[in-house]
Amino acid sequence: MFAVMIIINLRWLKRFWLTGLVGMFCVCLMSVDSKFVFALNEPLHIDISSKQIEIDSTFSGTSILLFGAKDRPGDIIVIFRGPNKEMIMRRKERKFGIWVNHEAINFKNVPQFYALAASKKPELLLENKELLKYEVGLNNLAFDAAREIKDKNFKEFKTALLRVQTAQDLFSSNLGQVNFIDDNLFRVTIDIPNNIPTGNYLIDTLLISNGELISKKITPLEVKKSGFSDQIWNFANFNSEIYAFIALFLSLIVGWLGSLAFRKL
Amino acid sequence: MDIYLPIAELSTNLFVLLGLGLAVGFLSGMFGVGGGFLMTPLLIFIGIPAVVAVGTGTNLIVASSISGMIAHWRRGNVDFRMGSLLFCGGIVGSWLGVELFKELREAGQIELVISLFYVIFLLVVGILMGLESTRALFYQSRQIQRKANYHTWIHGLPIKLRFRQSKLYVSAIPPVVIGFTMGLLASFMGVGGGFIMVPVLIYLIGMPTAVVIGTSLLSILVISAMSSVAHAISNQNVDIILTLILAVGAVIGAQYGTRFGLRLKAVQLRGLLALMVLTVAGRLIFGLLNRPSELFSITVLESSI
Repeated sequence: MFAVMIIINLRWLKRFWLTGLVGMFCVCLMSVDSKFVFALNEPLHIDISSKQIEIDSTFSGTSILLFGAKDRPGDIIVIFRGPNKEMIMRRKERKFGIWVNHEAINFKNVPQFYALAASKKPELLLENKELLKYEVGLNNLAFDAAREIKDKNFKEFKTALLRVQTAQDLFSSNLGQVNFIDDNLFRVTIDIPNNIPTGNYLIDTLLISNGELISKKITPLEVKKSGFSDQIWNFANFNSEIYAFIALFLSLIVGWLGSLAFRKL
Repeated sequence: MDIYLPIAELSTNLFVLLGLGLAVGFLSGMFGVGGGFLMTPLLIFIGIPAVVAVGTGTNLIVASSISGMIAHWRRGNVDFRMGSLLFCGGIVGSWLGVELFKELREAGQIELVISLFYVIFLLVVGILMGLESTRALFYQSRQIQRKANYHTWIHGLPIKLRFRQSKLYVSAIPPVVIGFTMGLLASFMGVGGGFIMVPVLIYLIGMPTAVVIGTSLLSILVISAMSSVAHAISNQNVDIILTLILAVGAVIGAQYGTRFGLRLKAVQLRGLLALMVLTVAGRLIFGLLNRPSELFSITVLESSI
């Protein structure tokens, strides 16, 4: 049965191979995804210098180079943002003379890292509504309090969150540069601090012309611990019981060896 | 040279850590104390998270108490019956301490509690030692002699046991209670607590000085081992890389500290130690009372991946 079909197919291919091929291609395209069709004449092409950042025992920060080519005029915005997590913001208050954590607000879906680069000020490129939609700029990040909180408090806590993250180099308040090599080729350098959280990151590259989004490319990037320190962390967190006894055993050995080494002196 | 600490999750200068181990080891050798009460606050001061500083501290005490315990055991200066009562209480205390620690950590109050514990502990110890050393400076000739039949209310308690090594016949309740308290302190502060246990055993229970150090080292070893294991299981806050670096420094430092300490008079030593303890306490009090430059802090919830 199958063989017969193949033979028929071959004969068909011989006679109308070109039309057949194009037809099959179209069927394929339609069946996969409508997005795929647009990919054929995508005006924006992006690649990054490395798809993975590995944090080992001597990691002291790095930078990622993003290359891009566009085949129509327009401006570029690049957003580098990292794993969204729920965060607890706590505020210290003076109680009985000492400063203690008092009020707290939980924020959902906060990126742990956020950096932005653009060829022009984003406010000049897009309407406020669009800036919010694509979360361009720290003030347009869309994260919400997990519980209902009074407006005034929410604003204060949110501002503080941005401030604390910025102070730790996890949010970048200044705009990174997009360097054009010629009209169509561009390059963006993103600095990665040494305290970058591990997880999956996304780099959104937006091509904008006349206040409208022409194209958007999303490039994934993974930050992970590597080598010995990664193994230790995993072991301590997923095999806590065994780790606990190894840690105990090691310190017993070190203490005992130390006393042996010095008894001879 | 920076080294990444896998559990503390930050890079720290290797030589700063080695130097810290050396310095604390030197001081503990010089004064004949464990040094945990200095190590944990100093680790916090150089930026190690308080939770990790305490967990690693308990692990470090294991390393620093084992050699002393073996040395005293060889000389027959360990009262095993007394020691086991102490560490039985201590095991319960340290387990309970670790559980409480976990609760407070989740409530975001653990840093405060650690600081408060340290402030109280260091102030009490520092003031007592300071008073004693100044008193001793003035009345150097007068020696306080312990009477042969030394009795306090402690000796009226029930469940009496005979401790041959200590030449004592006292209730089993006080050692268990003392051990329990030491266990709590160990888990909350990352200290051995020999500092408190030794005077308490001498003055309250009336143990002879010859066996008190070895016996307290035995119970400290078991209590800190229990506390370290419980911390590693419940709080995942024991950094073995940090322990190794600090322990290497501490072991070497202690050797030189002991030699240096022999040159100083006991009274001077105690005065110096009191001064140091009060300085650390002062720094911690400043941290609690001073308005922080940033009132807000962020905790990332790992569960919401």
